[in-house]
Amino acid sequence: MPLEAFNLAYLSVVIFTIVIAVAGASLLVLGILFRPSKPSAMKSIPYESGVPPVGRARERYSVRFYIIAMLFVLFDIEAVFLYPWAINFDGFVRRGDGVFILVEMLIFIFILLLGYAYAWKKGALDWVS
Amino acid sequence: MNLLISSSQLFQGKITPEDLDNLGKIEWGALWPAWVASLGILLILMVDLVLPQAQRRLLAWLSLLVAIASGASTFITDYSKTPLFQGMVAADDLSRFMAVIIFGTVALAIMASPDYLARLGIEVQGEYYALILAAGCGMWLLSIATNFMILFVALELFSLALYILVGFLPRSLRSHEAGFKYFLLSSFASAFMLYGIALLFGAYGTTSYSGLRSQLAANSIHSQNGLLVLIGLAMLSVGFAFKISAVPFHMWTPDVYEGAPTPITALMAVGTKAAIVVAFLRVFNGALEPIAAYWQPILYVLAIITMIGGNLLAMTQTNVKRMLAYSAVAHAGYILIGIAANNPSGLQGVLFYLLSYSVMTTGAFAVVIALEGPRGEGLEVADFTGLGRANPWLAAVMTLCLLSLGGIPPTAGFFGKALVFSGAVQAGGWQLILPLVGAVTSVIAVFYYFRIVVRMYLVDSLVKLPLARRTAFSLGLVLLVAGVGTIALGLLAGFALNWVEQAAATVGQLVAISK
Amino acid sequence: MFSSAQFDWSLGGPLGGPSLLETAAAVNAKVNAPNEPFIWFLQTFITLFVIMNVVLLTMAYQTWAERKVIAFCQLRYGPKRTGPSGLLQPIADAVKMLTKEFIVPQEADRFVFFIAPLLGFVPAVAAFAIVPWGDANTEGLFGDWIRPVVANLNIGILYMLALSSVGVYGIVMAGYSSGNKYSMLGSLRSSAQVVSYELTLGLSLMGVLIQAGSLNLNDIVLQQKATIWYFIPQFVGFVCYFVSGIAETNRNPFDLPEAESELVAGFHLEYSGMSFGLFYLAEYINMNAIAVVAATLFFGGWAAPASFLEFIPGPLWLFAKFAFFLFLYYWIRSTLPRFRYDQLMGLVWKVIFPIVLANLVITAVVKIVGIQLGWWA
Repeated sequence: MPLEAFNLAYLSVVIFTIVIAVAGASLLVLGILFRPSKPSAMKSIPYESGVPPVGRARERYSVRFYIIAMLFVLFDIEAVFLYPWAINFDGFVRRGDGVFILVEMLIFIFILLLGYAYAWKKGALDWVS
Repeated sequence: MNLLISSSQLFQGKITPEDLDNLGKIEWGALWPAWVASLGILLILMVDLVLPQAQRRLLAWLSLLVAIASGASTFITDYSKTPLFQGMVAADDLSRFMAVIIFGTVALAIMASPDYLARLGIEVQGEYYALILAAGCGMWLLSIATNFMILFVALELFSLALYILVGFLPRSLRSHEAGFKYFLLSSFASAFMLYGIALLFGAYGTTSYSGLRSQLAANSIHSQNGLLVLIGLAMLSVGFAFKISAVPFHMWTPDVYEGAPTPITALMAVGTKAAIVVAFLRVFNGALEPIAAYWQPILYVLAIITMIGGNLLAMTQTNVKRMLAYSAVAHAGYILIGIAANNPSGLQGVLFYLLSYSVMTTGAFAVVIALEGPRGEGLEVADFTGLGRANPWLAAVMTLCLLSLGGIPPTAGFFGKALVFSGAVQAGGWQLILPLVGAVTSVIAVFYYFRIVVRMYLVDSLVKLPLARRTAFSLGLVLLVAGVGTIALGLLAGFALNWVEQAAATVGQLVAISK
Repeated sequence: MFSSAQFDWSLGGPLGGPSLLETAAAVNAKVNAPNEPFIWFLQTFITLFVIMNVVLLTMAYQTWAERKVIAFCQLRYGPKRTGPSGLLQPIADAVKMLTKEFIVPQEADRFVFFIAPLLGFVPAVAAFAIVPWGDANTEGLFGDWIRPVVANLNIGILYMLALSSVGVYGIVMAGYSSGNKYSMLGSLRSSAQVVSYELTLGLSLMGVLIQAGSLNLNDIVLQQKATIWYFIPQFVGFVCYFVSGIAETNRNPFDLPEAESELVAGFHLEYSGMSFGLFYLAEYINMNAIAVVAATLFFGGWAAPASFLEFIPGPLWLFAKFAFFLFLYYWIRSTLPRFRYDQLMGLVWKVIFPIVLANLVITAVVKIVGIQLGWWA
């Protein structure tokens, strides 16, 4: 990649992230010098407040978590579409196209709200049914 | 005209009025059926939320209205400007033809549903009709796509709707199994198709059909990208063969068709197949036409083993739904003959075949719906014993549709087969084998179709009379449309042929561009 | 090899195209040093070294401050034995964590178990790369050796939100890999909560974006300096942001994932020693990030509240506002009891979400009307 095409602000972010990762990893590894290491069978039993563990850890869990995940994906994608809109809003309003861009987004939000109403009415948002 | 708005424009607030002027030039009007269907989906979901349980059956009529409006809206659109959306979709006579077939099938499937759902004790209805409409919308978009991106998005749109619909019966393990099986296998096939698209894109850097076509015409297949194109072609063929359930990619068909709610089976057998076949035409006879010599042999082989395999397997079935599923496989083989012929009369044959196939298959499934019991019983061939006496009208429609499926003149099915075969004969050479195999397998097909007819009329009916259930009004309408359509398309084939010719000519136009 | 003509010095202009910060280019030309990439790299390293240390030190003393404030609220003393007023307490904590044994539970997925704390820690600190503590369009301290911001990204807010999404991976991986029921449940609860509140966290900023017309944090601060701090017109958005922020960082009263009476300690139950320490760090640093972004987006960041107060340097203003938000955190923690889980999810999906959407639409309408009627330029 030619350097002029590379953006320096992003380069600094990359450097920053690498430095943090190295610092974090060295914190983890550094402790080897100081900490004791006396593993025993009793220590490595899953901790359940002192009593022997019952059953396995990776059991099935409530389907509501899946529903929340799906709703999140749905509405987060919608939010992603809203960012460029919000950024460009100012320019449009100053050119006199404010109502146009507002109506465009209202249509979008309206369709979204229909989905929201559907999810609400069908009980996807209720944790206790 | 460049529609691309760069991300820097987006995120720095630098979209200009010119960008929007470009957006304004898009022909939104060309997609009326899709708009109507989409609005209808939202409307139905919302009405479903506010209607009390007792009045939910209104949803069926509402969705029927939407389906008919979607199909009808294609006639108010001016389809002379093609292609639209920067070459993403085609608005031509074929699009209109497909809108009629697909939304017609959707309407018939909707009409067949309320009675069936009530019999099976299913209360959730808003989603059911909304998903049927979504599937119809996706199928239509698939059939008008002229860009691989739209092709894939449309494919996913209707597939996702169908996955849910296939597994819709809450207490039927078989339905759940079918839904899951369809989901896994179909996603696998979609992945194949996507790899194929990616390889073709890798070879020539375009996903549009016309762009790909001109690149293929300009560059020899023996040039450096040839290998990519050929592997891409093979993958696309696998994907399409799976979707139209050609042997040996048909394994999912009987299980899914059997497990799904029967109106959905009818929709899949007709609408999905029609949409995929037209996408097949637009991709193979349109975009990949310059390398026809490479894909025709694939289709010969597929057609032959599909006709033989589908018919032989159908013969051994005792469950009518499974039998019709294998018969659908066999019919995919006949359709492939027309596609492989790659000439105007073959294309016309395919389109006419789709038209006739949609009415007769819908009719056959409608009779199955009428006879099916609350727990999915009454589907064995033996259960049809004595239907001729118990319910002569049902038996008559069934007979008509089965005769047509078997290709007996003067029904619609006969002309469909005849046209497809004549396309192959015109192509000549190697392809003469195809009508030969087709004719022989048709005879086999007549054997298993007649087994039901014989059961209905000739076998002594004292053994067991089928359930003398009243046929619901809406289902009766479906039977009427299918029965009349099957005869009318046969007797008045000329009128339909004119239309089919126009529609087929638009694929031909695409063929004519680079010649 | 590198001439300044080839090299995009603008420290901004993301996503292609030379853009913005002509002023910055002018400053770069003026500031003696950098026609050499080497100098640039050196400056970057020094800047981020300073920022990272400030972040870690702030975090360490924040824990001390939290204990003190909560002790004050509860009429206790708080830490007072390690050093004067317990000021050495954070250091003692750090030493303790470094010297504790690292126990791997028998059912753990070892690699994931080891890597999860890092995935929680790195995005938390990385969020500080975009926070300006002075005007990014001018030179920083000591002839730009310490820049006013590590990376003046034009998509700053998106970057911040993206990092908060990445943080969820650490939680999920920790809960899954521990092989403990309580960890698993804690991580599920936590990830469901974090993704839900992330949605409203992002949407509550939409009003600010509409007003400022930029995703760049420095631009937003400059806008506020020129007009008005956004917490006044965007008060609803600010409240929603802060509530979502508290939930996003799993703090009281939304600390369900580590509800000790139900789940022992939530997703980091099986972690010990420094690997637990990283989660601990990450939680507090996330908290700081929410606070510092709130200060930047709604309270004018490094800008002074009035022009006669501008003799006090920007970093101090930023720190003062930041400290105020931290105090708000502690205050809320010592005042409110914990939510139930259904209340928690109901709050975000049924209350905050509609409010932020309405806020977005109302802001847009008011902006159009205001500009049409000439209320503001």
